Amino acid sequence: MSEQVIEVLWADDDSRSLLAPLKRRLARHNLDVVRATNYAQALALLKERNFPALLVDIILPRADDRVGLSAYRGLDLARDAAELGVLYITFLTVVQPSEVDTEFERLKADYKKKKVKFSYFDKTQLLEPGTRDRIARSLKP
Amino acid sequence: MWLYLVIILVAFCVAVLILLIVRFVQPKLIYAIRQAVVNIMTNRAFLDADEESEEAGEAFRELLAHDRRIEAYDYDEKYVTVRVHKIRQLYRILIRKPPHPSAKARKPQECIVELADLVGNLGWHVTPDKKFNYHSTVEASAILAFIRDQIEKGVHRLGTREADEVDDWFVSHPISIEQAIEILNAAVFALAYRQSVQGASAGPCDDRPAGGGDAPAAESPVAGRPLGLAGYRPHDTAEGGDAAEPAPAGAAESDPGGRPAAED
Repeated sequence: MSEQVIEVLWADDDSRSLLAPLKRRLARHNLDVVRATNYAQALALLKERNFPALLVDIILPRADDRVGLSAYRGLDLARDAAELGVLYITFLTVVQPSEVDTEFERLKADYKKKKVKFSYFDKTQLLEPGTRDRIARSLKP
Repeated sequence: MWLYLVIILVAFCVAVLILLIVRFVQPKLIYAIRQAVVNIMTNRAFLDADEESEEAGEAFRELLAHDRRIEAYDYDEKYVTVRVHKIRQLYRILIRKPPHPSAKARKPQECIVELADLVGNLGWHVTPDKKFNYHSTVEASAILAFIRDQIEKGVHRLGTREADEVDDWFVSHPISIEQAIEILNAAVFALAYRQSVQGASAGPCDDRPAGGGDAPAAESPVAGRPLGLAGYRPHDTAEGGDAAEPAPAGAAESDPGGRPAAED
């Protein structure tokens, strides 16, 4: 029996350029990836469709025509996604965990009851053996 | 034989000349080609990683940094802020320890140079205009004092909503030239103080702690300070801002480099 296809929202301004080949790898794991390149676009998609999983970069532009001063908008998108019922939230970013550990721990604590699973992956390690498969697994039950 | 050599040489020179002309007249074309090449190389790195090549990881890290080193060729808000966004990412890539001792040293300080380049590009396209003199100027000393106080309080960032409000305020209240100068003065003073204490023998990344990132500020960087902020005042203009009249229409085109004819 074939595995069920899971829809994933991937919010990253690199998703249509440098990291585009990652979509191919995720598709091999039965993940149907929908891409957004900024916070506004991603939030609109989250509200429009029920995504069970989110792959997000912490450094995310505010909107198509405005990057915005905040460097950590991906954390806000993760919180919005958790509020909207997304259960698997994975960060793929160049921001090191030590930089955002307080926010990350707060997120985990706030959505523990909702059983939201948060994962973190270092973007600079993306092509190390096994990393892409682990990312795919983190987005599924 | 000689004729062929001359023809090849002339063809080569013409090709170089065309490339140079395109580089300066149509830089966007060059960057689009560069971006396409980076994307192809990244795709190659992904395919190599699929075949479990050991070099794919390092090649990808290099491409990740390379992709964020885009040269300043434009000065509209969208392009500039996207570039700042990329430089933020570049810094976070460059503060990582190289994977092995023989790897090329990373230089996070290049982000300062990249931003200075961007400021220079924006600076040439600012048009002096009195209508931006609606508020007084915050001096470099007050800016640095604010930063010092925030560091001492442990406040490092605003929440996104608050940051968006600041963002919107600066869109509806465009900065004066004088205020921009004071912000840059603050950065230059702070870097000059650092320069005076870091020592001439320090290497590019010598002050980077093991966990990545720049070293904490030195305890007392005042010794040997060449110039102090005390007594420093911004330009004495009656209204404390863009003093000059707006440049006449078309003035920006008066210089081949696109520099406005009238400066503050």
